[in-house]
Order: sequence, then C-alpha cells, then structure tokens
Amino acid sequence: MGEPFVHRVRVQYLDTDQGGVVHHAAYLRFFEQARVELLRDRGIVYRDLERDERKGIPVAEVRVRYHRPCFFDDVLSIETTVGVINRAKIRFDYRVLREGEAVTSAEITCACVDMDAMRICSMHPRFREAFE
Amino acid sequence: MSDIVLKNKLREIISEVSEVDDVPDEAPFEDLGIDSMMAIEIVAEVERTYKLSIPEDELQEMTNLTRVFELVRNKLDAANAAE
Repeated sequence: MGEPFVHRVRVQYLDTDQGGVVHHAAYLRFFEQARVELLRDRGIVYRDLERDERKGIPVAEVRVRYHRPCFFDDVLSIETTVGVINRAKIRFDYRVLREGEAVTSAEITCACVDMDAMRICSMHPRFREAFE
Repeated sequence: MSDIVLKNKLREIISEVSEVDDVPDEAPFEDLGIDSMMAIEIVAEVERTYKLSIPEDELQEMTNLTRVFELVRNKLDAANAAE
C-alpha cells in the first residue's frame, strides 16, 4: 500500500545481548517506534488518541524473521507499510535495512480496543481514512 | 431467503473466515477458537455479503452461529419491510 515510511534508529549498547548482537526483543521496540512515527506522519498522534478518544491499537500478533545479525552503532532503516486494514485489524509490514541490506522483516497485527470498556471494537475510522 | 439457506451461508462465512471446519449452531465462538478480532472479521464479511450495517453495540451479541443468524434475519426482514 504505497511507499514505505522510513524511520531510522541507531543501535544502542543496551539493545545488544551478551553475544554482542541486537537482542531479538529489541526489534519489537524499533517496530513500535516506527509504527508510532508512521501514524504521526499520517496525522494520528497516538498519545492523543489514547488520551482524548480512549482508543488504542494493542499488538495482537507478531511475526518476525531475523535474516542477519545487527550490532552496536549500526544505523537501521525501518521501512513500514500497512499491509492490511479492515474493520477488525491493521497489519503493519516491516523491513529493516542496514546500508541497503535487508536484515530483518516482520508483520505485526494490531486490533482496536476501547480502553474504558477494555474490549475490542471496530477499527477507529481515522485509521481507515489514513490508510485505505 | 429461507432460514436454512441463510443459516448455512452464515455457517460457511464463519467457517471460511475462522478456518474452523465444524461450526455447530450453539457452540460459543470462544470454544471454537474464534477470538474477538476474528469475530469482527466475520461481522465485516456478513455486512459485505448482505449489505447490512451492524452497529458497534450489537457486536458483543454475536457469540455463536444462532445469535448471528437471529441478528441477520431480523435485519434482513426489517430491510425488506422498509422497501
């Protein structure tokens, strides 16, 4: 769905594990940062959505493939696109590049939740307007 | 559309979306492994198929095939009566 949104991160020392490579869980944080910035780019400030409209998009499913290891001080480009959006869910597709080489890819599916009722609801119209 | 045809079509939709082969009438979706996100996908497909609008507050009522059938039957009947 269109050109990917690119968010760059520099790997910090705390992102690495005892083996000296980026810990697998650190990528989830990178993906979250990229997702929040993509939403901002499309006019959705996630903090405001939670605070003002009491809606959130928690992660419901994660699929990650680690192709190559990354290291402290690497600069990673996180490419994000919206692969699927419908009434029930939004799926963010990711490709992580280091100097043009694909090192990791992922699909993260989020549901929409009414934070007051703490239950799933239909996707907020602003997401559908922004990405459909 | 007869009740049997409608119910079987709804069963087919639920089965396709959820990838659950056997969808008994009264079995709670939860017991079939159909989570709330999947249930909304089912509702969306039902809306597309029958050109209906199912409001947010009725989503929570769609907990098994029979409840889905009753809700859709009522809506189709209301739409036909309005024509």
